[in-house]
Amino acid sequence: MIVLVSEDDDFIRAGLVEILEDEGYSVVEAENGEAAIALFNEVKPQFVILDVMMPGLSGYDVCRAIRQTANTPILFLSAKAEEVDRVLGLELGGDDYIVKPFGVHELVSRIRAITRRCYGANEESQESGAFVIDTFTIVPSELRGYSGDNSVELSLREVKILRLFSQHPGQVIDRDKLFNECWGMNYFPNSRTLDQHISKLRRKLSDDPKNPRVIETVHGVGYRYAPNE
Amino acid sequence: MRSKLWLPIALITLLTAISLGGFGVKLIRDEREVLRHQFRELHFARLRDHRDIIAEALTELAKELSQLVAQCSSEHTKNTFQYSSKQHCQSGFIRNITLAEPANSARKLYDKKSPPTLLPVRGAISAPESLGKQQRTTAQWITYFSESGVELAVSTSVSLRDRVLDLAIDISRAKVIAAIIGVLPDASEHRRMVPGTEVRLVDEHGSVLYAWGEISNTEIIERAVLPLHSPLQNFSLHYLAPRRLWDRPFYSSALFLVFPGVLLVIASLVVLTTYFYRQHVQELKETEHRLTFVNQVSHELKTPLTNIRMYAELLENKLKYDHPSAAGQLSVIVSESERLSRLISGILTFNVLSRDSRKITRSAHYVPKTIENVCRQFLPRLKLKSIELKLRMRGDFTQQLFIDADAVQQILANLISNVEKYASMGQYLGIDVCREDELLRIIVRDRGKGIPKEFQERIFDPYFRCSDAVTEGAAGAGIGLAIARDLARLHGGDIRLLTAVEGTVFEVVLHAPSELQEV
Repeated sequence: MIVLVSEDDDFIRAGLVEILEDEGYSVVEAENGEAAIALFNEVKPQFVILDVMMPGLSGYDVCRAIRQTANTPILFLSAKAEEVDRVLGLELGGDDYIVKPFGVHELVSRIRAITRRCYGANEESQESGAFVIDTFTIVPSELRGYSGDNSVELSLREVKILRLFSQHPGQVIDRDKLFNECWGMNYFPNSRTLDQHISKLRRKLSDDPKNPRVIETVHGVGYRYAPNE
Repeated sequence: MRSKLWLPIALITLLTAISLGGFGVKLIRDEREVLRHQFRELHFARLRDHRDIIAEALTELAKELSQLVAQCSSEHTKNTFQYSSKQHCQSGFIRNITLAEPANSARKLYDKKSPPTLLPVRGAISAPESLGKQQRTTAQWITYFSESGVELAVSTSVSLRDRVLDLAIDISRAKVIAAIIGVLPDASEHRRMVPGTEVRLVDEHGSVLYAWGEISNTEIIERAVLPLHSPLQNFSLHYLAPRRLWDRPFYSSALFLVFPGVLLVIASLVVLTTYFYRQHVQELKETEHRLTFVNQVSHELKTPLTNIRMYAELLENKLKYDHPSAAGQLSVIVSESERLSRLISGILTFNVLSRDSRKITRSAHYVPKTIENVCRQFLPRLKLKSIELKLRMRGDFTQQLFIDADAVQQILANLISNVEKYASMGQYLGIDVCREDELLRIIVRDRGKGIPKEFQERIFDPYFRCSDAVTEGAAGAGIGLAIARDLARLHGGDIRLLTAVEGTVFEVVLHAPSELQEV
């Protein structure tokens, strides 16, 4: 899924890009309203994040322009927390409104919630059906995994990683394959990125990181999914 | 209001005032004219009645006198007219009798310049041969002027054997006037009919011969003047009445004063409306300026704060599995940035905006999660000050409740912040959350020094602080509890200080329904 981020502050924009790419989304950036509109028309993203207070065209103006031609989900970012500002954003066609400073988890949760609502099936996955990893049933459309009464939130990238494992049970998947399949051929993440994602997944699947059982580390090669026998 | 609008408004108001005033004047004048005309007709009608009575009386008098003279003559068969002044003057009316000249005579009988020929009082008149047959005429009044004024006579004919004598009976003016007065109403009769008015009979000199009616001491004016019929056409009847409303100038009318009064009210309303409108516009401008200031300051402060928090969380996420201690330090940065954010929001909102504009927005939340979020933010600082946190949830919280999560978090944050600032020596913070139907009850207790009794009634007052110690933040500024109470009341509840044996206990009660009812 391509996400358009329009934010005039360079640091906030860079931070948002990192958060979204970590989640598994492709990101295009705009530093003002005019560039955002031009980029939207060119790239046709599936999700838009708009800062409200930008020089020139505001986030509200960009939203109006987008709404003339598309129903793409829009999330507003703003330092203005008054009810009137939130209502205005939502009335103009925004899907949600988050106030700065926001927590990363909150931002990610809101994006996931909107994506679930607007896109029932993950567009980038060839199969939208649920699959099983260990004791968890992974539902890609919900970006969640269920095990009994427990449920865990998953990012898009985590779902991609788990799907790849579920398609190759018991097999070692090398790092390059994992990067290519889950990050894309043209993406060159930090080598620690994969390890961090695996660590996070192990925690979510209740897999002891010191003695991992579900996702095993194959040193120097990659990782292996060991189904529960 | 723009200055350019004053001129059109003033013009419109002035034109309206002039139109209303002109209309009012015309209305009053027309009304008065109608009244004046109606009363004038009434007055003249009354005078005409009296004039007709006088005319009738004079006609009868002439007839009587004529008949009297005719009766006095006993020689109808001769050409001699015998008369006796005693008989003729019996009634006192007849002063003398004059023989009228033949019709073709050049000499006029009644010539103002020369007095009429007086016949002897006693004797006989032999009708001159030159007199021919005259046509018999009925008794008619004749008026002539003398030195004393208008004199009256009756012209009549006496039939002899073969001729008719035309005589002019000179009448006593005083007697005639007396006869007229005799037929006019007396004072008592007229008083019953028209109180406060008077009718006067006035002669040719303007002297009042007779008057009836009763007038008061108020200012009176002549309403109508009607000349009598011949022979007294130089006499007149005058109707007098008190000055009425329509006799006064139109601007003294109470009705007319209504219009200026109405105009005054309208002008006052316009002035007041303009004043309050300007005040309102001024307040709106000031509020707009404040809002703009708040927005600008919020944006300027919150932007770097967003970066601090966001990057701290990113680093924390990256390091928490491999470098937990570093991640822990980053979590301090995160929690402090959250605290700074709360402080900025609280101070800006409270100090700049009108407190009346604050509102809450309810949405479905799991209350335990909302409470835990706040507590988690304070964990590093509480841990630093060795404050033990005990959180207890009692009641059914399996379903979401409709609350304003931000408001609830701010209330709780302000209370926890106070414990951390002023009651850390107690090393304890207890938070009991209880659900009772649609009410959420949160008890926050500490084991600190407590609040002195003399301050307990004022702790919710804005800017009030128990001590003057320099402490940063909203709580240090003395507005934390004020904000918390405002928010609690907006949330359909309240916050109060409970009596405690040890430390301080606050009770927060909030309305937290499980379903949102439309208002």
